[in-house]
Amino acid sequence: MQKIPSSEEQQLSKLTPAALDDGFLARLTASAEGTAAQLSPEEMDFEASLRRMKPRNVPSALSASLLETLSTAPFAVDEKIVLFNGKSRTGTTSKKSNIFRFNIAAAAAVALLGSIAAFMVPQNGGDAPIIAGNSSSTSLEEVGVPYVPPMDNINLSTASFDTPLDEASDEVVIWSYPMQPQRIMRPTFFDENEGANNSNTKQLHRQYGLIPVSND
Amino acid sequence: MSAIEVSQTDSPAATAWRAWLEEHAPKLFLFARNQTRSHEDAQDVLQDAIVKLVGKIRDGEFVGGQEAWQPYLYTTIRRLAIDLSRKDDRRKRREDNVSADIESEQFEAFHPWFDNDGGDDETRDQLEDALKNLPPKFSEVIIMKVWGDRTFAEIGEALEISQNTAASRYRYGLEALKRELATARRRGDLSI
Repeated sequence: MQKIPSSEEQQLSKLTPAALDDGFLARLTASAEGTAAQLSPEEMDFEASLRRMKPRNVPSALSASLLETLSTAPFAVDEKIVLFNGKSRTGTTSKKSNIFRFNIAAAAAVALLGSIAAFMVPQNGGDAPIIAGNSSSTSLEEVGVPYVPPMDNINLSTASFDTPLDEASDEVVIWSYPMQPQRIMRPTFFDENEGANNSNTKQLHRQYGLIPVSND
Repeated sequence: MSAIEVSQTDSPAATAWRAWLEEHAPKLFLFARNQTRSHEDAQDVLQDAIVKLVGKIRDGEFVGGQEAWQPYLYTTIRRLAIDLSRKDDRRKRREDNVSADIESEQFEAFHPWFDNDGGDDETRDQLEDALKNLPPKFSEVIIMKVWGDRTFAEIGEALEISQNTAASRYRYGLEALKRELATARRRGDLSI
């Protein structure tokens, strides 16, 4: 049996909600259309005129105090570049200075191979190599480079050749207790396993290593 | 200059921080002044926010790079200002000191919010008064957008409102600010 509305309910049902004002309707429409954040040219002009008034500088005492606090933290220029505390070597300040040290065997091996390759030229017999590009026959020992026997075939290869190392990537620098910056390296290895029927399988595995980073 | 100051100012990080402070500290301080009741409270709040940022960076807890510092600082300044305001309200209920309030107003008059280079003192003062007369929910959005160069998304995140609400408050705020400044502009007193 349908309930009979009371007199109060009947009176209330005769009322209708007030219409929305135009400004609010426009706001709702803009929200629905995704244009709410777009400013009109007049609004942008007014904004530009306001921007001409510059905020007052921070009091000098506060500025010095803030700098003293901030200077104890490393300054991240971007994802890969972080400036640390400590004196610069030249004793002069510079806007940006990048100090990197890579201390892993692969990077050291690549650098050593690269420097040797720059000086090596194939020779007949077992004579000492001559510095490439140098017209005078200057031996390596004379310029302080240790003698390396010439190879019959110059066969440059990456440091990872004939090693299980596939690649090494630099992830990020972290600060660990107590205030020691460390670079996280992620070398990827392929382990070869001899299986049945003379088959070889390669298994990928990754490791993470922490390399201390000098911050002086 | 002490040895500590020399070693700190000579480091690459300190040099970079100084440049960053010179560019961004005035905008952050303006926001802190908008959020607090006095020049000194604004200084305290800004300093505390910086200390929190440094603590997180040094502990390795801060997520994001340099682009995340300002959003974090605006959010932290606001939260610290709210906490400070609650403490102040409780204290004011206990002490009712009229002369101290008058002294505070006079002190504030000597520490304007804006520089007057390129304009005049009257323009600067009227803009500051107009911003102070706006409802806080409008003035904080205007300050973050115009002088803080924050996007509506970043403003929404800092103030815990939606991006669309931030944009609406900005529009309403600009309209209200225009009305506040209308009289002075008709007189030609303002350069804006």
